[in-house]
Amino acid sequence: MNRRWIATQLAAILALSGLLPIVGLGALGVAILRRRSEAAAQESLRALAEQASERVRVYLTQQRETLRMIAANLASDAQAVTRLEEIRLDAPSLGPLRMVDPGAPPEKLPPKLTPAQVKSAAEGKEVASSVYLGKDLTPAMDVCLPARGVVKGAICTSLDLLELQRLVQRIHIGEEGYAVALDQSGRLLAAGAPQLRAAVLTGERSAESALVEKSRGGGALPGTFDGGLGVQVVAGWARLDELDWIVVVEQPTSEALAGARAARHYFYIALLVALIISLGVGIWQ
Amino acid sequence: MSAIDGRAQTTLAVIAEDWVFEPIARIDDNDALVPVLASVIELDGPHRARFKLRPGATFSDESPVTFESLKSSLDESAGFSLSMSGEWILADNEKQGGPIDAALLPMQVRKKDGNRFLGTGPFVVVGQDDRHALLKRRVSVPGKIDQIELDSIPTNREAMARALRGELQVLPRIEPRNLEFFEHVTKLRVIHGASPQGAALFLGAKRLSAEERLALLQGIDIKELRNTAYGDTCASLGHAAETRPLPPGRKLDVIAPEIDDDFLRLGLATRRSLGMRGGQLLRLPLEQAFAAMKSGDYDLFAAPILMRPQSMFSVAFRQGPRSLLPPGYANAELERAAENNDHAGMMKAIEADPPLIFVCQPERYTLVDSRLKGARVGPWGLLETLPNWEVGE
Repeated sequence: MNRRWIATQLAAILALSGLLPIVGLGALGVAILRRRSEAAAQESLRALAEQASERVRVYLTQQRETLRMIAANLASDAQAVTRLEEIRLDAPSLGPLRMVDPGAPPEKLPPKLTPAQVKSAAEGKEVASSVYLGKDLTPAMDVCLPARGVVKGAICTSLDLLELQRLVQRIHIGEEGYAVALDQSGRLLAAGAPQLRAAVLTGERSAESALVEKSRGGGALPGTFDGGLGVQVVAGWARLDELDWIVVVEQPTSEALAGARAARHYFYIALLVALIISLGVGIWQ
Repeated sequence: MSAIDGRAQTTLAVIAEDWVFEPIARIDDNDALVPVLASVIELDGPHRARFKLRPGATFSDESPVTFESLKSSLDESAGFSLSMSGEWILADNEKQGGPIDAALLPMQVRKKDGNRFLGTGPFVVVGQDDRHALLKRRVSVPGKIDQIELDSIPTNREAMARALRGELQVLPRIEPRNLEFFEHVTKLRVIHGASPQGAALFLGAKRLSAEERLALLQGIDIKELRNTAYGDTCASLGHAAETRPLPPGRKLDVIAPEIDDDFLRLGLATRRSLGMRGGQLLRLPLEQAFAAMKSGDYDLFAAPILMRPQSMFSVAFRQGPRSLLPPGYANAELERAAENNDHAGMMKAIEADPPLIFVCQPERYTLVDSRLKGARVGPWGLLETLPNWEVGE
């Protein structure tokens, strides 16, 4: 054992004893940074999901207000049916509007509402179905309102919710983030990621479907999980109770936490450089 | 899917026939005749044409296309006669009376071989059942489509889902509303072009006098009607800058055949454009609508009409089996112009004594794989240009 060897060992001990606390503190800092970045990403995604939900809610409210206005102004004159038929020319988001007698046979009733619901509408209560995919493959919702100007009748239509699908599809976060809308059973209703849109049409389940289904009893929805595209995502969720919809905005972890990841890499590089310099100086001395 | 035999009945088979069977000529984007099985074609007046066969043209069994095979193929249902004059083949439609190019266009040349029909096109049917067909290119061309699998998919939903999953390279028809689904889907792109069929309002001459029909032509705001019924998915065919109020009179009913939602909207918009004179909107199943059209028992009738090529259009205004002239309507000037395939003359005669009002020419949309280069909607057959498409990386 010569002097040089002893000097090297001493230098290594000194370098490591100096660096170990730095490593510990640095690692802790990086972990905190990652956790904060993740929380911040989740929070901003949740805010986006809530914004989207709010826009959906406003849109839906407007549609129903339009319908209420039509129902309130409906008269029982001979032209009423003609006017009702032509409303869809100006309000394309409303399906065919018709006056429905609660005693009409089921085939004359809106497809997703029961005779009891239509009766209830005729008696003064607004009723609506859950969201379903219509014949033209766009989401729809059947709504019936009391037609106050008409004795014993309800005014019914299918709201065309294509606008909502459009709204969800057009949410893009960064390069790879997207939004998905699901109903309470976990069925996909709209998806920003093109790869998930086939499931909207076929009713196939996605990773998000399983999470929504699991949360039905009131369970929390996770902030990170393996998303429908098979990569880990950071996510923000928002519920839209009027529609029984859930909107989730997702961003791959690799993109959402790119800042924290870069900080960790820089820290490791700095640590390595410091170690090399300490050892070098120790050996040289 | 019906048999791909040159006289197919179902949409998918009709689309595929353009790749297996060739007509003498097709039309280009400007409605000019372009020789296909002919090497050269010349019109000799409205009823006659002469052409030479493309040298080396063969059926898919490699037997040559001859005057006799052409005659036996076309004489079945073409209605025009063929004769030889030196190197030229003469096509004469004098007896039927319609424009010869309109008669030639839909006639695909075929040859019976046992219980199947052979064509002269670049593809050959190698197998077919009720839902599938397999077509192969007769002679491979580097960079171009070599094999086509046709799959008749029962629902739009399944077809769109399969396209989104990347299982289909072409989805021939897609509704404009459904295009939203394919936004940002980079592996697919939308191609579109004007349909040869336009949308029109036929005016029942049995119920409406010439003055009333003229008043309707001048009183209905076509621009507004088109925008209300179709939005921006239907090209303008021109319209009067100003409209005049409709004179008072009885209420007018509008028939909208149950073709699709667009025709229902056109019917609704038409009734509204009639203002106080708008009567009932009658939504009729196709069979009943057809019967009403034949009987002429209607006021206004929202219906499709072949707008191009112009020769096809003129067939609709000649007396005959394919005439769309409303019963009770007579317009010697229009018939004369139609007889001579004089488009400007026809439009002038229609404007003076209208049997119908043109609304617009809808677009047709197709989804294709983004790797297919040069893909475009054909001027006549929806995918007639497919054999020329190139497969990129």
